[in-house]
Amino acid sequence: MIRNNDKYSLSGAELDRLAELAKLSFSDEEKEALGRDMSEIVAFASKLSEADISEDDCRFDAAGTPNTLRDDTVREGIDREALLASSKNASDGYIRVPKVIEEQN
Amino acid sequence: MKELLKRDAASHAVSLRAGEYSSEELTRAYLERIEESDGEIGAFITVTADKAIASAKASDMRRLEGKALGIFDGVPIAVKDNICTRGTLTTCASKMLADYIPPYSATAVERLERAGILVLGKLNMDEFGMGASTENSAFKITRNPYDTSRVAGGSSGGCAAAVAAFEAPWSLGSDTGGSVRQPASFCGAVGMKSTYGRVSRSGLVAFAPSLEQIGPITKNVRDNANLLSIIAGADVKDATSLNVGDEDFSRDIGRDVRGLRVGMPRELFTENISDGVGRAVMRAAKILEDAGAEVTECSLPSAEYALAAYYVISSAEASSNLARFDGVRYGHGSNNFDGIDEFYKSSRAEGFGTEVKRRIMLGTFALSSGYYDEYYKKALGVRSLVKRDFEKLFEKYDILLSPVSPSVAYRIGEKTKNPTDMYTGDLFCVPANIAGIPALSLPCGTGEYGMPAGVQLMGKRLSESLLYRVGAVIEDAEGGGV
Repeated sequence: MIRNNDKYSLSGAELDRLAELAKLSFSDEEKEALGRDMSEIVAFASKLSEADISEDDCRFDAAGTPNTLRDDTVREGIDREALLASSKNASDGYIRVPKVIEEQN
Repeated sequence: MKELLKRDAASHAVSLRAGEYSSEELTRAYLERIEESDGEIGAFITVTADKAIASAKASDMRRLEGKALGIFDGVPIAVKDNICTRGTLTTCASKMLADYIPPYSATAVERLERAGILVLGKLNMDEFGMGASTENSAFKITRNPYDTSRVAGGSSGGCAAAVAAFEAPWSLGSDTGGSVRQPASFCGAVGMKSTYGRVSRSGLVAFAPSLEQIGPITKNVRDNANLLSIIAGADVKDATSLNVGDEDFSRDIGRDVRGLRVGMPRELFTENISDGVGRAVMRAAKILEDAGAEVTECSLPSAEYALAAYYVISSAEASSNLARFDGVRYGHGSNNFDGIDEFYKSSRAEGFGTEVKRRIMLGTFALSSGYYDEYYKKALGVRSLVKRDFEKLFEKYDILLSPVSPSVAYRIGEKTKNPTDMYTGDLFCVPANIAGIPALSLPCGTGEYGMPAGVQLMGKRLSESLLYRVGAVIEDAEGGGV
């Protein structure tokens, strides 16, 4: 990332790396607009570096209370058939996926 | 339009009990209204007419047998499309989930059903809750019933528009950074973001779980308090839900505000506030003062960092939560790929809209090695800071008063070009999500162009009843709710 008087610019290579991590893909046109928008948002978020905070502050707990945990007892969950019904690729109790293992020969 | 559609949920409850009309008649009246006006408004993604009528008939039967499930048995509601409803499409206004039918209902929806409240359908929103105008829906734009050239707000735009257009007496939305309060304010309705953990998030499709709460949008303060009382409570399916016992949040409505200390944080009165919105807040302050409250200016110094922290944290959580949409088990799966990696990428690139992808990328950035300390960790630090600032303020003040949004509802297309400009509209709402405190948005007169203007009341954790009590005083002085 290039920084120049509060101007931030995310490079094409950086966007590619993030897209790879996020499992997304973009056309060149989309990437240009995205780079522009993201650079602006990141510049805006850089305001955070001015905040006076301690290392302790960074361990924030959203709830502020201990989690309410349920008893570890067996109870009815969601029906397996009902869950499989939400998949378009279900057959014989399984979900069909693209082939991921190549044959070796 | 039928007269009865103008009534609030509480008066429907009274009429149903008195036998003035049946739940079926009431439900059919709303369905007819949706048929007649929603083509223009665009509040609903799915209307579940058959199910609603069947539930209404069952309610009428219960009432006949003296077995009504509570005072609201037979009153209809509409629900935001990111809240799961068993057997009914739940799309999050995304192509990704365009044909997703959940096998379970959100706990909040189950609680409605237990109270006999029946669902008319599912409401439009910004895709996965990401947006402030409902222009980011993959399916359609929701228009503001007060002026259809203007937005309804967002992300729960459909929820607010449905209530304002008399298509439902009340609705359930969700608020991650103002998504209940801002559309309520744009459409002249009342919206509550309760204390973090008040309402179970089980079945709310996650966008940023550490910030969000399901919340009611209603015609007036009392309906809002009643609806929150129904949906709130501990839930074994949500470990962050609070085990603080059931509460009737309407119990203090009608009590006066004499001696209450009201603070107006000067950091939330920024230069970009429109005159109309500014006047609305000042009028609310005057109403409270005249009613015996003590209104003074105060300071929330960390407010200037809250918005940046919000966008970093919410995007980081979104990038992690939306990783589940890989096209394999459910949701959109691409036909256009060579190999598993490309299958994931194509499915996600085709299924998600521009704003969702932008937030996922931003969140991935904030969590990625090299930037984590500087952005995500700092943002968490700011959360502590904001929380502490509020705690200090609530030692001196009972409630805080601020605008909800810097302007009234803007024109469709006016802000879509510049995401950062759209984001700054959330400034007054996000501090409550950041700190996990309750915040109520309610109308206070009219701002520019004859559009409704709103004010926000914030209180310390678990102070919802106080917010409703104070809100009701403002509402009464303004001539009562819609």
